[in-house]
Amino acid sequence: MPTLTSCIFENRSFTGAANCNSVNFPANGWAWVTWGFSDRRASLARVRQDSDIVIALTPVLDTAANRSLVDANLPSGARRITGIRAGMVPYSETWGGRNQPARHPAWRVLVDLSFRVDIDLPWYCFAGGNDTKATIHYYLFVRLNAAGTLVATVDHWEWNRTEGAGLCGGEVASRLNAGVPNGVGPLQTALTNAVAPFSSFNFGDIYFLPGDGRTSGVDEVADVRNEAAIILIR
Amino acid sequence: MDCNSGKRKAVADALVERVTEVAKEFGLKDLVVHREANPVLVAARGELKGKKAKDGTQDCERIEFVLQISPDIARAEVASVIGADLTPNADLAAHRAFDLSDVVAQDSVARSAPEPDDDRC
Repeated sequence: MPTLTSCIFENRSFTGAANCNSVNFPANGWAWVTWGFSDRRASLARVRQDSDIVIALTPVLDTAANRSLVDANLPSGARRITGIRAGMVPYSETWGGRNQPARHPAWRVLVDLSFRVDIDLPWYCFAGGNDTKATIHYYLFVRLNAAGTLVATVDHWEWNRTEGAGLCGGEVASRLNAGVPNGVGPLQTALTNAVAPFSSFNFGDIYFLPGDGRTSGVDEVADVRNEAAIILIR
Repeated sequence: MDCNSGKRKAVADALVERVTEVAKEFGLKDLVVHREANPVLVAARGELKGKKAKDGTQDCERIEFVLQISPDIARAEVASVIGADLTPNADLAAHRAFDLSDVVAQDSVARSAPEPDDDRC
């Protein structure tokens, strides 16, 4: 029995919070979804088949091995304070989209793999505390090649410092700029290994959904950049 | 916040060199130089050893200072809150990817209506 999944997003750019509702409906029948939100700006709806393959991203990517991988490549004085989060984001909403818009179509959706870090600050920073915090992003381009095989590559990286660093903004930036790119190679290796089991399958299409991609009930998602699923169509 | 090119680099190099000399001359052992950073930063602290006090102990004066070299000190903090780069030689080939371009292009409601004001405080 097919499923209608209807998602509404906080922002027109298909970012922010989202709510998805999935209902089964009979062939040639109707699906019924009602919403009570006034602060939603965009929606997506999709009829899904039972044969679609759902891969919730965070459970797949937030593994002990991947945590060790990112921890081993953190900048000096930084430690991860969240798990690995994996969601969806249009290219136009990333640093790459704002600075090199020709690299991808603006509305191409990438995987946003991110985590937050705490960074120690030494005495001379006068930051009003002994630390600051930043969010590190690795953007992953997941797609199908001409043979229908799943391919995943690290497209670019970005960090955002979310708290003050006093006089040490430059020093912290230098540390992050030196450290974050070191994660690209190991992460690419991990990604290649993660999609290897799918290499013997061919798929017809790929799309993303907020949340875990469930096929029934409501899925409340606080931020689609932190939680999404990939759907593969056989 | 580029102090690592042009005349600003020359000034920064000279300032770092001379401040470092002063710090060493006065025995400031806790000397930190972030010459590669933008803004450039030099910090030092330590004890300035002086004459002996009347009770025979060494009379020490503590000092610490920070020198920040930036084109615009007021903006230095703001300018260093983001960093990013594109992965070189990344494979961009795609036969099928999730692209919402067609969806957005067909969104006649969004194209005909202005973006509503965000009424959140």
